[in-house]
Amino acid sequence: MKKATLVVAGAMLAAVSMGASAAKPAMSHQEKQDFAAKAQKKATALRATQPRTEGQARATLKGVAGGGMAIRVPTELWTTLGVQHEANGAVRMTEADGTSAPSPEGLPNE
Amino acid sequence: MNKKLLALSMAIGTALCGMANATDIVPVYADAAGQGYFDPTPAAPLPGNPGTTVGEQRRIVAQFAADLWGTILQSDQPIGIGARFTPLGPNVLGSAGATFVFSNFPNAGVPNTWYSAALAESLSNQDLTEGEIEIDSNFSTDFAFYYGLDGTTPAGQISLLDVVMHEFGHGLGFQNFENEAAGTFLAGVQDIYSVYTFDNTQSLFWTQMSVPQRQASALNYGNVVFTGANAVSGAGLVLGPRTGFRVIAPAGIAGEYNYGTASFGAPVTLSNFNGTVVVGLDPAIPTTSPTTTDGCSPFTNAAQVAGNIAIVDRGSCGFAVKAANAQAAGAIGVIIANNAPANPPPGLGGSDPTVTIPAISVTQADGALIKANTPAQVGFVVDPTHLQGADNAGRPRLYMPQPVAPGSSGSHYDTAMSPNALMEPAINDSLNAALNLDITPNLLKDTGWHVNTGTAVINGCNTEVKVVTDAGIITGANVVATSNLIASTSANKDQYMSRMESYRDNLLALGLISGRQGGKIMSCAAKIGKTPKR
Repeated sequence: MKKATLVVAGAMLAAVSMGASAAKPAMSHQEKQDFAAKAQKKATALRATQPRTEGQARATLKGVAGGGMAIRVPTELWTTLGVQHEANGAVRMTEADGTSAPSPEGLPNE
Repeated sequence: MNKKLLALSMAIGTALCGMANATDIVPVYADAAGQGYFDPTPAAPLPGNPGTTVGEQRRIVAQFAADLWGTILQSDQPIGIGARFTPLGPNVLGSAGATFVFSNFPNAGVPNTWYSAALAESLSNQDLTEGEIEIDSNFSTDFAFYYGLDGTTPAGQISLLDVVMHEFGHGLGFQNFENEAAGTFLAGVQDIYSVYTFDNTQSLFWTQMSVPQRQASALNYGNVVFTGANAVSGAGLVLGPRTGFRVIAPAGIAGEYNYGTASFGAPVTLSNFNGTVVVGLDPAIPTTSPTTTDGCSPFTNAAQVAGNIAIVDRGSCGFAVKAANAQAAGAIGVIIANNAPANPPPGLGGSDPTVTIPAISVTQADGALIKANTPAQVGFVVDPTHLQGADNAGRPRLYMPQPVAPGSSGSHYDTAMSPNALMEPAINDSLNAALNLDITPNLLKDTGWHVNTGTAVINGCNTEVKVVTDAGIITGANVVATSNLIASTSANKDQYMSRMESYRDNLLALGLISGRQGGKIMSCAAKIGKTPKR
């Protein structure tokens, strides 16, 4: 095989390898634990102040770097997952809004 | 260049490109010691879940779900998901949602449009929340979930994995940020999900509508669809042929009608629900059942009903009572017309083991139409040219019930889908989110997510098992999540290898991988270094 060909092929392989490794490597187990520990401290405060209504959320509307906007999502736009028991013992889940519990009843009987 | 070398280079390049990066999704547990995710109550290990306490089994499920989604979706920004078990009241399983939405960030696909935090960070490759969690989730301590990961949820139980995968799906972006009852967008800004939400009646996207038009669309059951190209192509691979309740004659009302099913009687089939519809009549009892069409008493026109399908009105007595009276009159089936304007028609609850005929419900308006045109010929038919749960163009339907169900309307696939989809508002134990996410990843791809089109990588090695197929089968993601789980719960490499071998054998037995892929899984497993501490 010609030397020049080997050089070109080597360069191609190196480029491809670099491309593949350019993606950020996955976190290690320890890194995930550290990430979670750091985030957990902030999450407690965040959860305590998550707006419930859109009116409350509007107060959190702010500009972000680069000209963008951000707003916290009111929990009334989250989903709450509920469960219904059917008479035959089967269960099924239904969702309602974040401020009201799903119907505590099963399927209507009448 | 030497052709062989070029081919080798290309092959290596292709292989490496297929090994795409995943997303680090990290559950951020918020429970105090001894509670929720740290509940020390002893628990017997379950299939796929070797945890020995309730808390450990819950954490294993949450991490497994995080690893599944993290393998499927690609982002260089880690996603923190707040995770907490807490009392939520009777029959409430959990809640979840994005903590923030962003617009006009770098690389935002559509300007002036909200994107959920996790997606916005993926697209911009920036930590837009500045270290805050991107999604928050709560699950109930009051409910006995099934914590197994094998998809064999016992009857009467609910798989926590299915619930977590569903809710994480919302947090990742399977959701609009619109108040359907009011017709308004959050802070007046459209969202990326609504960019693809299209009303077939108005021929408008939600982002093109006025507030009143959007309010009306949110009630337009069966006629609002998701138009993203990936979701549409996935629907063609996943959804079965359309099976519908059809009025065949008279011609003036012929067509397909929405229907609800019952928890009693025989399941409706193509063969047991065909015939002539006759109104079932019974005596009017002023104090208990004041109409002659409520079916609450023995029928007075049994001779006409016998051998036909009876139609009666909802109200005054249980659905099963009406069905029993219809059956006693000789009916081969019963239709119960709703007594209030709602769509889709309600599911029929109740129990009576003596009822053996099939029962369905129809809307109040449809019931009135059918009753006004009796005797009518009806039946269940299969239309192989269209998809169940999609419009005639093959676009998957979104759930738009009447009246609005806040938090459910819009942000789910329609309950009419068959097979059942993960992101329907009422999910059940027919799902197995450990291996099948149907057209959920497709929809997320349409909103801007980079979905991993490559193959599963474990221990830095390519298993050649596709992470997710176009039809939402996530065998490769399952390989990664399972390898992570086994590695984190094995005492040493020998135990890891032994458990991976059993897992590989299961995949082979299920026909989910080829023999070659099974071999690759084991050769990749052998590359593991030290197993992390449990």
